[in-house]
Parts: sequence; C-alpha cells; structure tokens
Amino acid sequence: MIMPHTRLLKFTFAYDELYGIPLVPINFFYKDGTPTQPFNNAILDSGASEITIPKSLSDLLELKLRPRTRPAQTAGGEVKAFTATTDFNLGRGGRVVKYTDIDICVMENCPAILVGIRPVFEDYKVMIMAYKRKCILEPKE
Amino acid sequence: MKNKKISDKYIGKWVLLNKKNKVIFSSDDVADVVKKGREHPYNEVTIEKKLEPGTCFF
Repeated sequence: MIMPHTRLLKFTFAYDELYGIPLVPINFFYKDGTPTQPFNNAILDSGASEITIPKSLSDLLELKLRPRTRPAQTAGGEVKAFTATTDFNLGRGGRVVKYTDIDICVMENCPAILVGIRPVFEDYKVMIMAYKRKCILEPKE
Repeated sequence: MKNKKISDKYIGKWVLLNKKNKVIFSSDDVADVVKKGREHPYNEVTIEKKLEPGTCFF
C-alpha cells in the first residue's frame, strides 16, 4: 500500500499566545514541484473537515478545481467551495512530513489556511494544551 | 511562534517576514505574498496572516 505521506514525525508547536489559537507551519508546492515559502500560522482546526486554502492561493499553485455538490457550511454561513488535490509539507526547518495527492477544500475569501481533520487529525493524536501554551502532534499507533 | 506585537496596519493582511520577523511585504491577497516570497531562497522568509486577536473561524 502506498502511503500518502513520508514517515510521521512527532511535533510540538508553541501555542500562539497573541491569537489564542493553535498554529502549525505548512507549505505547499507549485505545479513544477518547487515549494512555496513556509506559512507560519496555519490554524489547527478540528472544526474543519479538511485542509482549506483561499482560492487565490490555489490559482497561483495552478491546482485543478473540481466542483462540489454543495456549498461549504461555515460558522459564517454557506460559502462556495471546490475540491483540489495537492501536496504539502507539515512542519518546517528540515523536520517535515510530506503529504502527497491530498484532497483539500478551496474557498473564496478564506481568511486563513486551516488544517482540518483530513488528513492530519486522522494521522495524529492531537493534543491542544492551551493551559500549557503548546500543542503536540503524536503519530497514531 | 513567539508572542509578537503586531502593528495595526498589518491586521487582516498576509505578510512576508524576514528572518528577524520583520515585515518586508504585505498584501490583502495571499497570492501576492506567495509570489513575492518566490524571489527569496527557500526558508529565508516566511508567510503569515496577521489575524485579528480573538478572531473566530469555523
């Protein structure tokens, strides 16, 4: 079976005190395979079903968009969304897990990059410890 | 990801940061910032969204 990711690594990320939300580093790839610069503050979001990025980023990366049968349901109401398939790195500074051919959600006017349930929460035990100001991603057993 | 004071002028914007965490480019459009980041060697700069503290997403 081909794994959609390289070896899972344990990560500990500092919980951001300014914003009060758990943030993780991530980067995506252009069509030619070169990486984008790292995004420092993608939001680790158990309320999102998948990784979600703004449409303007997806356009720049030349991702092929596929229509969805229904709009995405968000706290702010229904939003037009698409599905795309992409590669990304979770982590930074040489300690990264590369995910390949992952379906993500692409949204118009998405205010940030959201790291949702698929695939990260499915691969990791995610411990968000606001009281300790850190979050730990531990590979599943 | 240390606690950093952010200038009000960048709140809500996407920014490109150098190694000293200084904003060297900003835009409302993430694509502009990612494009600008491509002018630098990989990992020499980073990208952030300057969120409004207390922002609710999903």
